[in-house]
Amino acid sequence: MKLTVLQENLKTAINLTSHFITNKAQLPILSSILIQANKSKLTLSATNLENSITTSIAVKIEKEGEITVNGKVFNEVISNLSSGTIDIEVVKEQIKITSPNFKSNILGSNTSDFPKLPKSVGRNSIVLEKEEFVKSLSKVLFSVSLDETRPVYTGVWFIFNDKNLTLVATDGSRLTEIILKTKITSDDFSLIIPKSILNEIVRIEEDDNIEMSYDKENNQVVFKIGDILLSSRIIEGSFPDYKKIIPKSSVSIINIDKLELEKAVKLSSVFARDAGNIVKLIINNEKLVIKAESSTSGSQETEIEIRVGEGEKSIEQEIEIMFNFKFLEEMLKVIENDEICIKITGANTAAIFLDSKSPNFLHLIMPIKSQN
Amino acid sequence: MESKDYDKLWKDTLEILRISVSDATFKTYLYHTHLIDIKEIGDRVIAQIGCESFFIKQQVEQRYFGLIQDTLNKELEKQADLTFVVKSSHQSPSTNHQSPSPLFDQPKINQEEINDALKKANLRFMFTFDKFAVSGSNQMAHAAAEAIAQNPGTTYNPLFIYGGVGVGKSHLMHAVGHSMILKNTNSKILACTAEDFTNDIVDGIRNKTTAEVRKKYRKLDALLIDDIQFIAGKDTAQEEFFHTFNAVTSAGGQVILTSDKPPTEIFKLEDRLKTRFQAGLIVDVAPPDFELRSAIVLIKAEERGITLGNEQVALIAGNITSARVIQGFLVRLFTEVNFKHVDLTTDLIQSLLGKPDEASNIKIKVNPEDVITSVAKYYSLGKKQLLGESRQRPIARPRQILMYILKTQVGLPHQEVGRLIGGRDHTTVMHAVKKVTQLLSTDVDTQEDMKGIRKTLTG
Repeated sequence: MKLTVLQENLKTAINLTSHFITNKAQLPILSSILIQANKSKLTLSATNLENSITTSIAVKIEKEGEITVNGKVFNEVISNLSSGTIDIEVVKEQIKITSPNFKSNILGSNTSDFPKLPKSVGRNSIVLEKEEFVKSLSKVLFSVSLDETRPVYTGVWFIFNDKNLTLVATDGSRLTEIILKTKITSDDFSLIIPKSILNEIVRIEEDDNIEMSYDKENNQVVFKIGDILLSSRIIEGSFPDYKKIIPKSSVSIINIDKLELEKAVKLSSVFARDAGNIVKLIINNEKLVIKAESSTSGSQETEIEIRVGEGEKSIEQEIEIMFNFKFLEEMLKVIENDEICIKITGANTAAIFLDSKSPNFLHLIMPIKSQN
Repeated sequence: MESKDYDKLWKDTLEILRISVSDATFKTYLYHTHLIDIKEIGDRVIAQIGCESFFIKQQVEQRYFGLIQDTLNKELEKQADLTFVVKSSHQSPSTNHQSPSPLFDQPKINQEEINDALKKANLRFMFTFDKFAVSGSNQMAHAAAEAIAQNPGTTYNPLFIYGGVGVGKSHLMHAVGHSMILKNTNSKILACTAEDFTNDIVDGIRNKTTAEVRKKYRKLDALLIDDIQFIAGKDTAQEEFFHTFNAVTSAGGQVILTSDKPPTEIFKLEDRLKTRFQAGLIVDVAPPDFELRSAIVLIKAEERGITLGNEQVALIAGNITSARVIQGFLVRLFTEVNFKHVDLTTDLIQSLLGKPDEASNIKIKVNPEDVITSVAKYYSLGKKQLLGESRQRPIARPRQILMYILKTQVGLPHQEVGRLIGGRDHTTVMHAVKKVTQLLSTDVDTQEDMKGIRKTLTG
């Protein structure tokens, strides 16, 4: 293998690829990147046995060939080189890297141990409009659980139903649902995709549309964005019936300035941090009071004016409801409108948060049950 | 072969494979496989092997097929063929039996439906396990009731609860019914008293609708009858109940009965009923002790929206012995606070406790002389000593208790009490009453003494 490549291009590709290797892996092959030079393309691949990536860049090739190399070492070397052309040559399982003022020999190894990765997205792929898909995805991803003991909560539920794609994520205490209108004409189906691969998709800076296919037999999903091919295993199991837990009626519907609420939550967090992250919201007809109290550092109280929705009945009784402030904070980050709409049913039932700028967005937060 | 056997077989197989491959390979690939199924076809077997991900399947299939096949051949002593699929391991018990997370742990049935079902079953809304305070005196009965609520009809059938008035027998019985309704609003439950049952039988005979009455009582998931002792001596009712009892229990229904005494002591109860009651579990509920009464005060006060301090709770629990009277007292307190607009203070409670109320506090109908004798006897003091001049505590304290009893339990006015206790001033009596009221809420000895004296008085 012998080729010439631009450092900038190679750097981006390796950077992305190296997200898919595990440094903890016991088998050296899993911390390696597979490099293949074929015709006019340099292809980089990596896998951690859960998900995989294959990406390619255009290079000038003198001699075709392939090799695997420790991803971390290769990435660090390439990233730290100055921009410009780099010559790469493979001689007897050694990679020679030469740039105008730099020379390096990196030990590589045979490619025969490297797992076979998906080559293409397959025929029956679904096309998703990149911008809208990624925007929606980033709005649900924060609700995904980090707790591995409940595997189904560690992914996003994709439901293809009647030309709509519904994305749902929950960690058991909060839930986000977003509905995308698509032109898909596939059969209705649903699958749970792990958050790790989705986090990567959100980060990829390509403008091409996303193609997606689902291999039911191998329990695998494949995404194609431009020259990048990603695959991931699918989480087995079924998502709880979340529709059932969305409160149908509410005691009060209020609208609040988003920035003010954001500020108030931020302020309350100063004290709430020592008190189990609990902030108390007290809502009556004119205002919302946010209280936080800590036995070690003190207490605070912020008042925000609210607007009760037009045609809505007024609040008969003052409502007290307690939340984890982190949940409020993260939810507020994805709200686009200046104003947020909150629907409350009671102190012990989930509250609904809506964004009037994106009507397909719904967020639920379960309040913290009061002790008395 | 059960899946457990597969697990065992695969574990053995993996142990053998482990010897042949490197540790890294084993942990990366082979460890993430499991045996799903084995089918025997003639003298060959087909083993289906599950792999956690597509890549693992691919690698294992390509590289270790032969090795696994050889090992399995030896293990099974048959020629094995292998198929591979991507499937997560089924054994993750921790994920299956977890309690639901907060968001998904919400009551599924709406309250109205429950209320309707409760009304139909004639169950009291307030009698739930949540509102039942447990301590040593009723622990056994509570545990039995909870066990039944979990598995009605099988655990203890029938459950026979007996005890004095106002100790919570009916509460427990209704709580079982309540929790059955919460689990399934379609459960057929009927709660009634022995009196209701007898009346229905009589009505049935009179109106010639016995068949309907039978339908009402015999096709139930749970039959709850209060004060079953009243059935004694009524022959037709007993016979009808005998058949009802058999019909319900033989269909897997639960029967719970309450009574004021154990079945063996119910006079004129037919033997065949007695033995049937004895076949289940018989538990007694003793009168509440001080701690339980405190808990009851708290629960009842919360129901009425009264907030009481610890001292106040102890004061009430220490002075009133029955749960029902506690409720009555709280009603009085509530009325006092809400309608007369008096502040809720310890003094108010004390004065209400000290005031013999129309019905609630006079329980002992005895001669004051007898009281004096009982107290003197209880403390092994001479009557003369007790009513004498000595102000030493061993004599003065019993004297104060005596005054307390005369004032609050017998219901004599202050002056009269003073006159009886060696011609003392009424203020002395007031002081004594106040002192003992306080002691009852804090001092265990005084509580015990009070109980003892009461016993000698009421026999």
